[in-house]
Amino acid sequence: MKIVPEIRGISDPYSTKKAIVKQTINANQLATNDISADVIIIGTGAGGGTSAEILAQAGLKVLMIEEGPLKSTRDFKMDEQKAYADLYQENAGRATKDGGIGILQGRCVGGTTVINWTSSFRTPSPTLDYWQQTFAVKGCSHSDMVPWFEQMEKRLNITPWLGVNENNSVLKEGCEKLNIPWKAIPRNVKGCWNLGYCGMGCPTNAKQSMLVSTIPDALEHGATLLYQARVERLLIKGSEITGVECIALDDNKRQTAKKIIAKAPYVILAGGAINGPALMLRSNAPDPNNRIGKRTFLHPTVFSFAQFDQEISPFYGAPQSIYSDHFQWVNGTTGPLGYKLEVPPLHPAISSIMLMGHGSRHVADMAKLNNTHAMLALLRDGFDDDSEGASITLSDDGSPIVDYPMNDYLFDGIKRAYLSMAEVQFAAGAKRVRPAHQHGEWFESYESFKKGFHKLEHRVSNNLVGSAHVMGGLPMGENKVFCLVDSDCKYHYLDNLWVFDGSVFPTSIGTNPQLSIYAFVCKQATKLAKKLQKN
Amino acid sequence: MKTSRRDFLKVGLLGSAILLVGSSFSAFSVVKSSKNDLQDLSFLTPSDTELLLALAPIILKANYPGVLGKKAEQRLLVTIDNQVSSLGQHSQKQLQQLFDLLGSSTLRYFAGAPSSDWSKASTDQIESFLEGWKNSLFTLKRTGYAALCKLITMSWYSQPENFSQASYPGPPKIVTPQE
Repeated sequence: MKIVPEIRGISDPYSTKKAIVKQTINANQLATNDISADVIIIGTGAGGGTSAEILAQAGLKVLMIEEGPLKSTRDFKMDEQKAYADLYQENAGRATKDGGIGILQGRCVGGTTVINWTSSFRTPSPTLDYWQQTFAVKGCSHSDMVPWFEQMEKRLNITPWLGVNENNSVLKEGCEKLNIPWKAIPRNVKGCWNLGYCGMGCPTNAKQSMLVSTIPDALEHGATLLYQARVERLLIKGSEITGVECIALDDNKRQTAKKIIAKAPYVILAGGAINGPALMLRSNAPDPNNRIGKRTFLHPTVFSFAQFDQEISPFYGAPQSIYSDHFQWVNGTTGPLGYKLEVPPLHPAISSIMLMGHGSRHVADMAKLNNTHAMLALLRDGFDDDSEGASITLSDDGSPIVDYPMNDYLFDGIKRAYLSMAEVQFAAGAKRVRPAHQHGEWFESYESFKKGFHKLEHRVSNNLVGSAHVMGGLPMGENKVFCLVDSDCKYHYLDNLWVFDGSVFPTSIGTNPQLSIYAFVCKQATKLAKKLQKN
Repeated sequence: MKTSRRDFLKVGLLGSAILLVGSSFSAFSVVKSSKNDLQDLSFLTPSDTELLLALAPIILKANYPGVLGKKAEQRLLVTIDNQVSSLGQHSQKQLQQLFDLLGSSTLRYFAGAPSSDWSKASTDQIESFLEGWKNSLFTLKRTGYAALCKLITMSWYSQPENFSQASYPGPPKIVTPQE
C-alpha cells in the first residue's frame, strides 16, 4: 500500500489558539505553589478529557492535572523512538511484575487516546448484563447506555472505517473463507489521511483524541490544564479530600523540588487503572475490604505472524479496521476464555520485540516485514472464578507494581487463540505462519501447524503477551464486597471523590475500551455537573 | 535424574545469587551512578555497556553495525540508556540485578554465562549463554533473556538508518506550516 509522500498544511491547536495557550501551564512555570478550582480532574485521558469538557461547559471552574508532558501536532513525527519516549508510560516498557505481560499505556496530555489505534466499540451487552448481575451496577443496561454511546459517537465522529489496508484484509479474507463473521471497525477520526501512525500521535489532527477535542473545548470554557505535575497523594481528612499534593516534573520526567497543593471541593480521579489505584494506596484512602488495586484486568493479547508472497506493508494505513467476535462469546459469558480477533500495525521497533528471539532467524524475519501480516487475539479476562486479573501494589518509591499471575486458565485461552489465528491466516493464503512464542517455528500449512504447535510449552516469557487496555482496580457497583465506587462512580468511602476512567470497570470489557470509558464518563459527569450546579 | 538434580542445584544457586545482589542493591547503586565514564549515560555502567556491546553482534548478526558503522555502539547504548531510565522502580531494580549478576564473573559461572570478560567471550560462548537462558526452566532466566533481546532489538530497529533492514520505507515527510 502507498501513502501520501508528504504531509503539509496542518496547524497545531496548542500553538495557534490564544485561549488554549493562555490556560495551559507547565507545572514548573506555575508562579505560586497553591492553585484552586471548583473541580480537580486528575488525568487527561478518555475519562479526564470527557469529564473536563462536560463540567467546564456546565460553568464550573475545572483544573486538569496531568503527569505527562504536553505534546501536540508539531511534536508528532511518526517516529517510534520519539513517540515511546514522549507519549508512553515507562517508554513503552511498562510490564507486569514477572515480566510476563508488556503494557502499552499513554503518558501525556490526552493520555492513551493520543496513542491508541482509534478502534471504538460500544460495551458488549453480555458485559453490561454481567456487571448488573454480579456487581449490582445500576443504570447500565444496554438501553440505558445507548443514548450515551450515541452522544460520544457523534462528539468524536465515530463511524465504521471502510479503507481497509492489506494487513486487515488478511483477517477479512480468512474469515470469509472459513465462513466466520467479521465486521468493519468504527474509528474516532475526522478527515483521516489513512497513514497508519495512530500509535505515535496523529500528525494530521484527524484522530479525535482528547488532545484535539474535549481538552481544547474545556480550555476555551475556562478550564486550566496543569501538566508535568505528578499527583503524589490525596490529602484526606475523615471522609473528605482536602487537597491534592503534586510534584512538578522536569522535561526528563524527573521530580523537581517544586511542590504544588491543589484545592477544590470536588475531586475526580481519572489517572488510569494502574496509576489511579496506586495513588489511592499511597494516600491511604479508606478501603475497609482491602479492594484497592485488586481485579485489575489487561485483556492479555497474543499474536500470530504470517508471511505472504505479496506485499502487506503493515506499516501503513489505518492500523485496525476489521475485527471478528466469533470466538468472543462462543462459550457464554463465563467459562473458558473468549477472544476477539484484530490486527496490529507492524512498525520496526515494536515488531522486533514481537518477533522475539535473536540471531539469524530474527534478522531474516525482520527483513521480510514488508511481506508480513500479524493478527492478535484479545482475551476477555475477569469473567470467571479462575480469572482474577492483577493486583496493584507499591514499590519503595510509591510507583505501581502490576502483579498478574499467568495461570492455566489463561494459557488454555492463549493456546486456542493461536490455533484460531493460524487457521484464519492460512485460509487467507499465508505461505507461512508462526506463533509469537520464543520457540515458535514457521509452519507451511495449518495441518503441520496443529501438529507442531502442540509441542510448544506455554509459560511466562515463552509467549509474547501484551496489553493495551488496563481496566479495573476501583470497580463500580453497589456490591461493596468487591466494589469501591457506586453506580455513579462516587467513591463509597469518601464524600467528594469520583472515579471517572477505566479503573471502575468490574471486569475487562471484551473489546477495545475507549468508547466504554467515554460513554460511562459522559453519563456520570453529566449527572455530577447537574448536582454541582445546584450547590 | 542426575542432570535434573544438577540443574535444580544451579537454579537454587542462581536464585540465591540474585537475592544476594538484590539485597545489596542500594549499596551498589551509589557506587554505580558515580563511576560512569560514558558522559551521556545515566543508568548504564561501563560493565553494563561491555555486556550489551558483546551481545549486540550476536543478537543482530549481519545487521550490526550496518550503515551506522562506528556510530553504532554509541547510538545503541544511548538509546538503551534512555529506555531503561524511563522504567518504573521495580523494572529498573530487576534490570539492575540482571546487569549486576552478568557483570560478576563469579555469578556468571553459576548463571551459565561465560566467566571470562564479556569483551573476550567468543561468539559460541555467548550464543550458548543466550540459548541456555532462552530454554531455561527458570522463569528469571527466560525473562532475563527476553529483556536483553528486547532492549537491543528495539533500540536498534528504531534508528532510521536501520529501517531498510526491516524492509520499511519510512514515514512520509512533514512540511511544517509557517506560523
